[in-house]
Amino acid sequence: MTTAWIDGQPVSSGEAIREAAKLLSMSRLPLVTGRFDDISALREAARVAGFSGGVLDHSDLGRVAPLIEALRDNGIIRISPGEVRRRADRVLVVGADPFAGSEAVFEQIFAVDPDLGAKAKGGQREIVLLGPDEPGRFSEVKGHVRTVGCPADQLGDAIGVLRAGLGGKPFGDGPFEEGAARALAGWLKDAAFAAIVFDATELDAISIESVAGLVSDLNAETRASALPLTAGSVYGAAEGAIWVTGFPLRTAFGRGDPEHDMMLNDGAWLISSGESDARIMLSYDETALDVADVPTILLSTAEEPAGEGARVIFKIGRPGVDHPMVHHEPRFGSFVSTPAEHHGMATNAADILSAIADQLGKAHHSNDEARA
Amino acid sequence: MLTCLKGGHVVDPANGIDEVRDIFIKDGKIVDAPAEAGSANETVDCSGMVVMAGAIDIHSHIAGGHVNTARLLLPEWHRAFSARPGETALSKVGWTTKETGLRYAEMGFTTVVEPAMGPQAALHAHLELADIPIIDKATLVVLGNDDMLMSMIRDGESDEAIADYVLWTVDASKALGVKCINAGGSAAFKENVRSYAFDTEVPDYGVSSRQILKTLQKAVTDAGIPHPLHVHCNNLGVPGASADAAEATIRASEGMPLHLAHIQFYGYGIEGRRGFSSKGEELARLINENPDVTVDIGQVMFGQTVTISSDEMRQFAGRAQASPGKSIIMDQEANGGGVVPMNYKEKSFFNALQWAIGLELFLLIEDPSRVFFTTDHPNGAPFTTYPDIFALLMDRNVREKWIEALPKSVKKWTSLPEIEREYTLAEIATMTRAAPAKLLGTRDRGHLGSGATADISVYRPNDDKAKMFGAAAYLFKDGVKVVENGAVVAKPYGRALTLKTHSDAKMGSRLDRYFDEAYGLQSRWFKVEGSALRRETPFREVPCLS
Repeated sequence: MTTAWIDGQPVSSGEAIREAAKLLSMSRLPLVTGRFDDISALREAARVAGFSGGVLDHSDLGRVAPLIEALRDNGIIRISPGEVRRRADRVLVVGADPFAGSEAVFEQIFAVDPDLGAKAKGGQREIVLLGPDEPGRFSEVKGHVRTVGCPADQLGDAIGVLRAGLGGKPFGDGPFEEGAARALAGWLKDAAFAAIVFDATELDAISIESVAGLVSDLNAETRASALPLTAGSVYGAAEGAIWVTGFPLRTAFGRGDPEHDMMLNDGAWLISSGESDARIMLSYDETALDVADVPTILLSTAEEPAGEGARVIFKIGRPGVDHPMVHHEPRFGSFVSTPAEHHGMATNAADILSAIADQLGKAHHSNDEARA
Repeated sequence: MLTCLKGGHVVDPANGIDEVRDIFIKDGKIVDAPAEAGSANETVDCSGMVVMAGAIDIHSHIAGGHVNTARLLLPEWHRAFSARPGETALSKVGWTTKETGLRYAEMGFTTVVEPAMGPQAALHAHLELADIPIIDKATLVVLGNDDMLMSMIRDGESDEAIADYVLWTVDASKALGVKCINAGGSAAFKENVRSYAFDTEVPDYGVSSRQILKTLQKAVTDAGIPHPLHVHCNNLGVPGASADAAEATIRASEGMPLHLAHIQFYGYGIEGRRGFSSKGEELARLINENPDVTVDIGQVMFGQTVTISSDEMRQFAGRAQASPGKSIIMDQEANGGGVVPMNYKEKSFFNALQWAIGLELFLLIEDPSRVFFTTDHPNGAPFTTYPDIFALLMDRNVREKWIEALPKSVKKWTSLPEIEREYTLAEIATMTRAAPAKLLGTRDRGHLGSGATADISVYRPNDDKAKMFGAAAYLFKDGVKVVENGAVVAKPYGRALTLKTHSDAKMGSRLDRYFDEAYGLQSRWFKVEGSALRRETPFREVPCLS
């Protein structure tokens, strides 16, 4: 079975690896990008970027950039979903449907009543949906649910109004009906343990900082914590990149030490501007990709990998299906390993990236010899 | 291949050796001298140099979720966040897994323990450890704020059942030992308790911090885990209450071994108009009188750093001192924790006295095998400050110079200027090699006897001890030369040292149900599989005590 191609022609994987390494080493600024659902692939991709002097990015990083910015500029008090499930007697859900894409977390939290905490246990959870006019997926959950309508573009303002209400400062009602903001702030303050849940990919950094500020203010007298949701693999990939490179992706290695810049090292911009003249890309997309813009090495899970114009193509297995994977599990709030669903011959993208990195490392006379 | 380290001054207190002799290495182990002189394939001239076992750090936060959160929170301290600031306070740390291994190796360290791995962060911690080159690593898994343990104590479950739970957690997380951090404090904080002490009960459970700690101490001892329960006491850093907590905990050791972490942060009294004074002498006396207890220091050094702790209550309170003014606090299933940046200033009375208290404890605790060399990296200071601390311990003149630079008011409140003791090389080797290996139960290291793992550091003697210990002349890891003249020359990957144990199947089934029903989590997620780490030999097992 063919698993590697150069210019559309079947080749051995060894030939393809050597060609890929050659392409990357000749590049002025190669881009290493893709989805990196499997942290093992991310770890190896960082080596490829390091040895090739390239830039490491994730195709979805823009979705979590506001959260990263808010966390590192401001900080936060945050909570894991399991603890919300057991302890939060009052939950403020911010946005039209922040659990879209995070359905398993929704089920984890709201399938049961809180059962920890002298004040919270034994009662039903109270849930306020700030944003939608209808309860939507919350119509069937345990607990008391009510909605407080708020346009999506005014959620950040609404949180700011709640902070003002909590602090007893003068404020306009903003998107709230008269008196509703002060009542909602009081409701949070009187919780045994309040949780504020939001989709961090839908709010801007200022709004996320506003949520963090509200939680911080609440903790002056009571307990409260924030749960930012980020569907997909990108936040986990950013976490992995932090320990390997020091930064949450968008990191360049062209000058030796890793250099991080959210704008300068944005992969899409690097390609469109012509800064990057080669790319290695990890794709779990079944559809054909248009990668003719720069010479591309494509690692694809597609049954018949089709990268229009890709110079080198590797067919790879699906992580967690064809081979084991390590990934960030949002219900767990950390990394877990998942075995393969079946044993097959499909190649792990991490192994291909590792081989390319080794090939590049040889050229750099690396003494990083311990990689098996 | 037989390698001879020839003619060095071998300082190996575990084997009572302090003399010039040769050391032989074969297949990654130290071996006896061959019968035939000159049969070595390779000879490394160590004449005039000091040869010790590789150093062991028993308490350094180098990996895991909280450490990574600190990296996220503080990008400005990474070497290359921007080209312009150049060297910054933490840039020497490197702030990545790779740099951690390189910097430790350059100083002659070969084993480092990450002392606060939450059960849920176990795979994360091991993934990071797997990416740290050269050194061997180990972890202590954190218990003592978890619903399972506190419920078992409340419900009067048997010692055997609790030991089974502890062993399941150690086994699943691939830990070497167990740590308890402000027992019950995080759980109490979730109940909005803001003041908590050794005999305070956790609301909703009705169990006290003392009960939790004593239960874990017994479980660890009964299970034959070599490293004693590693304790972060209540009220860290709180003047008066911290010293009370340390005293109560030491007195509660009651004939069983107990290790108290970063004891410097508990040496604080309330005398003086500032309400902050040294309890260093009293604490050192108490430790000297209690042979069951070992401690590490958590020395404060001046400069910017960041505090990383699973003591959520303490970190929440510490937000007020955050510098720069940002922090991340985590409410999680058990301990949670927090990351709070800190800038210890030489001209601050409080910070200067903290520095002095740490050195008082180092110098007044008499037995170097019961006091361990740590900064609680990065909480007291980054581990890259170790060379300066060696100099402060070994040279009274260096201490005097440092003391001269402090606010004059500090001298009135510390006995440090009067302390004449200077650590000898043998005492340094005891504190950083022989004793840590014994404390951890890792008998293959910490000494240079035949059969030991060939982790060997070689230093060029220098009157400036910071220079001497800042750059090893040579470091051998598993017999391979990895450092020469203070620079890394090879980067093999070490292993994580894990406890050789197995967990009870019934406890496994019980926890399958518990994690699912209580938290909606799968118990298999807590288990670290070696294959997930992508290393040929990710672990080396350490046996339990018989």
